[in-house]
Amino acid sequence: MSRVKKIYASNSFKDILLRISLLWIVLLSIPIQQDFYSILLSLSWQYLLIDFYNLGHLSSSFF
Amino acid sequence: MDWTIYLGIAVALALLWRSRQPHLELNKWYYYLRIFSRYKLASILLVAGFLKVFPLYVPEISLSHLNTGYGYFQHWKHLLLSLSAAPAYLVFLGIVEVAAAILLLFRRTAFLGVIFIIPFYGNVFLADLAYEGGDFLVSTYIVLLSLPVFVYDLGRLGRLIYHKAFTQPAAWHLEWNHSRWKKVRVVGKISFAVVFFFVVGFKSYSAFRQQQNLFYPQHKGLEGIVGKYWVKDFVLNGDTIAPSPFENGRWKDVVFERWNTLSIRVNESIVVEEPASRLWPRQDSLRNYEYTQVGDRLYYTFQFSEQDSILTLANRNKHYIAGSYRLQLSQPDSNAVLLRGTNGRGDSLQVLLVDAKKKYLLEEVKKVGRRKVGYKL
Repeated sequence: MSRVKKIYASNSFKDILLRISLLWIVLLSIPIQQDFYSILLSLSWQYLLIDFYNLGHLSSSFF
Repeated sequence: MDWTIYLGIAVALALLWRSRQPHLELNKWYYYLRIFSRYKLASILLVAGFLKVFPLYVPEISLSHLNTGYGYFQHWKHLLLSLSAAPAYLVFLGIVEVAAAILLLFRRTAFLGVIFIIPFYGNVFLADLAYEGGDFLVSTYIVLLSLPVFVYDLGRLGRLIYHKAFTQPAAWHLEWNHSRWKKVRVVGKISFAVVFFFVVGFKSYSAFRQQQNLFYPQHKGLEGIVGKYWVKDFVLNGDTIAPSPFENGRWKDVVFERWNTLSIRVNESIVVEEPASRLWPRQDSLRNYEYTQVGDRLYYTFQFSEQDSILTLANRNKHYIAGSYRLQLSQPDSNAVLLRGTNGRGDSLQVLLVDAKKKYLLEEVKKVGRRKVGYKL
């Protein structure tokens, strides 16, 4: 087995890859914009669809 | 760039985590990652999907847009207008999204869900790039979210499809019955289904039934004055200005929408406004769909005083913020509208508009049904 394949198959590699993936995806999903919290705090039945759409699409863009 | 910064932070945190907790139960943590990805994805897909199943995602084409030359729309607007003209296609896209979201909610069918999602949002990503949508990060993020679920079963899929070998499904799962999170899990699942399936589904259906739109102003327009009007007479400061391709100040035609928007086609080229944010605005005053990413016409929001028949126009485009009119409206006959008053600079203006009685193919088709329209060989 080549060295690269050995590293790829090792639990150590899987372990660090899993930790990085988990943290990265969770970090990307944490909304940090002020817009997110202002929408969340002003959620209303009348504008529910607009608010939910915005909340879903805010979480992936930053700054 | 932001994503790279977050990746750097994730790597640093992962190394720190590893130094504190060297041994991780891989199956369990991978399971947590898949749960997070599945539910986050399903929440986005159910909202986006229901907005398409009940076609609210893009509004009907406005009369002003129907009276705008094709080349004046920016690329992204072309895509939205195309979707608007083909609601059945929009409904199909919505069904795919909702079906994929439902598949994602169950561990055993989640892989089937991402098989739908990756090509679907891969295509959305390409459309975002091709039509200069500016939202390509959203589609990239959705594809990224689907990868933990996809990669988990990828080896088994390859074994089954490529090697054509007998393949057992993944058997590992968390024993929730022995977990202290058992009750939280049940409450969480029920809450998720109630909010994202029943509430969003019902709200979308209700908005569709009430013919609401999420993009145009909700304030009603003028009673009995809707559609395209030719400018028959245009008198500025007492001078009658004849139609001419070289006369910038003269109006060419006017469109009255069903809501409180009036658009005017003029000779001069329009500085197109870009939407400041990709978020959908709530209030009428912020709803910019009709006048952003499109040229050819100037869009005014109006207020009408029925007492003295005064029409007050304010330009919506930020590049023409000073453009305003205060006009008295009268109807010499049922086909004509006379506007008299002043513009923002104090110039007197008198404009006689005549109903163009324009028929729109989209509306004509609706009257007889799409199936009855077509060519016979």
